[in-house]
Amino acid sequence: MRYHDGEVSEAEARQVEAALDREPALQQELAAYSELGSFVRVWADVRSDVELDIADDVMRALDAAASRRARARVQPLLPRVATWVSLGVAIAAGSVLVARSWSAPPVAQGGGARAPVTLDPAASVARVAPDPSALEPEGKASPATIESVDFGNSTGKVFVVSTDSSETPVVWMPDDGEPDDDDEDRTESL
Amino acid sequence: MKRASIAVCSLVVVGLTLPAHAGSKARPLGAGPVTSASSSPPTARPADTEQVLSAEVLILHATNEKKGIDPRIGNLPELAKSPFSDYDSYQLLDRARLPLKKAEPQNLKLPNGRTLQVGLLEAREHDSVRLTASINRPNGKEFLPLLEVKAHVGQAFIVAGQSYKKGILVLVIRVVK
Repeated sequence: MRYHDGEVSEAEARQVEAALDREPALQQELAAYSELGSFVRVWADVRSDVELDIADDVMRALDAAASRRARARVQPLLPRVATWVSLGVAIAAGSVLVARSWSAPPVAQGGGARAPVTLDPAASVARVAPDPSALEPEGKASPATIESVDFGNSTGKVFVVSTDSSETPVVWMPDDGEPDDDDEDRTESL
Repeated sequence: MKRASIAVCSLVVVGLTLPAHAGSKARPLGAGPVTSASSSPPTARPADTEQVLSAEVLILHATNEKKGIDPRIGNLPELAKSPFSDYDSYQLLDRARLPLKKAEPQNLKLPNGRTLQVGLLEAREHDSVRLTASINRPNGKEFLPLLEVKAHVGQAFIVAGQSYKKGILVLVIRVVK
């Protein structure tokens, strides 16, 4: 390789040339180095041409894009602003409507009774034991929740008794006057 | 502007439609079985909750015999509130602790001969349970067929109103450990 590139001294060159005369394989290797050098030079020339073309193309593309942007900026902005303002107003109005619909109190509905239930109008605190997470005031223990009650043939009331420290759901069922068969006293002292 | 008009119209339509949909979830109130709005799905059921929790039942006799409140009842401020304040005397007739076990409802005989039955429906996280209570007459007829309650430890509910000896019975049922 050094001989091919001309980097050896005269003495070394003579030794190499003598060896080349003796060994045909060395001559083939030298020829291969020559071919490789030619290939590298040609490839370098091709690459430099290609890079030059690509650079030109890129510059042309950049110029075209810049001119398009400039034309776009010239267009009037008013319609776009109006579009976005309208969309914002519409989204806000929709959000208000949805929020109002979800926060509205449930509408009382009758029907589907398993038994007559008289709700106490005086006990306006809650007709049903409130959901603790929804109605628990600060400082008060959350009350138990009456999820379902079936008074059967009797009448009754469901309400909440509120004190300073708690809210207690109450199921109030006055006797219906029908005597039980077995009505003896079973009171036991504690 | 045309696009903006279309967007406004579509959102208004959506906004007007949603309230009707939300309103359909309104829970019926009034006569009939009262059902809580919160129908949250069952959560994890720690096994130890079923073993530990119990229902403590205080059976009180409310009268107007001017005897005051039995000190054994302890602190029960609800008795000073209407309609319990309509009675000036409260006597503790019985105190029972019924273990809350699933599929094993516990019975407690009431002084008037009826039977209070308390059962565990579901043990939830954070010492919370769903339990049932019912009261049956000696002849087998139901007085209070079914009551479903969700409560945490320490929370109580009251079943009151049954006539008994010139007064009424007040059952205070509290979930305890």
